[in-house]
Amino acid sequence: MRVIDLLNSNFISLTGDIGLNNSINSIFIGDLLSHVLAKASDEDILITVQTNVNTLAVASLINLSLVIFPDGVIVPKDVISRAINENIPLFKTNLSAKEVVLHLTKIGVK
Amino acid sequence: MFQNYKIKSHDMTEAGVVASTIKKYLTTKNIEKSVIRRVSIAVYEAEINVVIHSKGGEANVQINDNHIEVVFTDVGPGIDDIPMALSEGWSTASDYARGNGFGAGMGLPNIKALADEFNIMSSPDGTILKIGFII
Repeated sequence: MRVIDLLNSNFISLTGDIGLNNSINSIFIGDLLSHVLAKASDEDILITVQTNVNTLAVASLINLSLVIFPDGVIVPKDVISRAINENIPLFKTNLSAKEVVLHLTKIGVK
Repeated sequence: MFQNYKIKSHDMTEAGVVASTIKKYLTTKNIEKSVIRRVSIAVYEAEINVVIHSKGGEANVQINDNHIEVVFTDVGPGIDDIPMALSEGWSTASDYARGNGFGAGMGLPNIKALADEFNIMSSPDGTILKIGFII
């Protein structure tokens, strides 16, 4: 499964076409970045409300495929610009983190 | 390869540049992915520690064919209790650190777990953290 397969009415891509071809491993939810670094796996989707640039650094370092910001959290423009420069796809959604996980697992993300 | 990087206190704009630079370099050398991951995470955590906890410092990176050594030094205020700092979940993180997604108390434990070599010394004048990896 690839990031592009997740795009539907629930998600808005903040970064256009960036990273849509990334393949997906699984899902990780976390807001404490050291915890994400320690426990998330290569090509995971990260669901987080941590909307600062450090999330992008973490995503890049451990090769996360996608970052999803739930609950309609506002993502700063500088974070979006940097994500585009660093080829990290960002989605936003009004769904809660729980709803995102339920939806992703329903469509086949393990 | 030898490189020196200055690390500014409380400045997130370039935080992570040491780790990402090393990661890119190791990727070009076809180093095993699991090793690149360990090195990247450990260096990043150490770099962030200098940013969020210290008054500023630097990283000296030395990469040979089989070994990477990174020495982080800062100018204080030092770590009061190193054994506690090495225990998971214990944190002295400021509001600044927590507001940037850090402060889980996992930094030094993560680094020690990931590095092949780990040595730390600290006083109010500063901290020296030396980590090494076999590649």
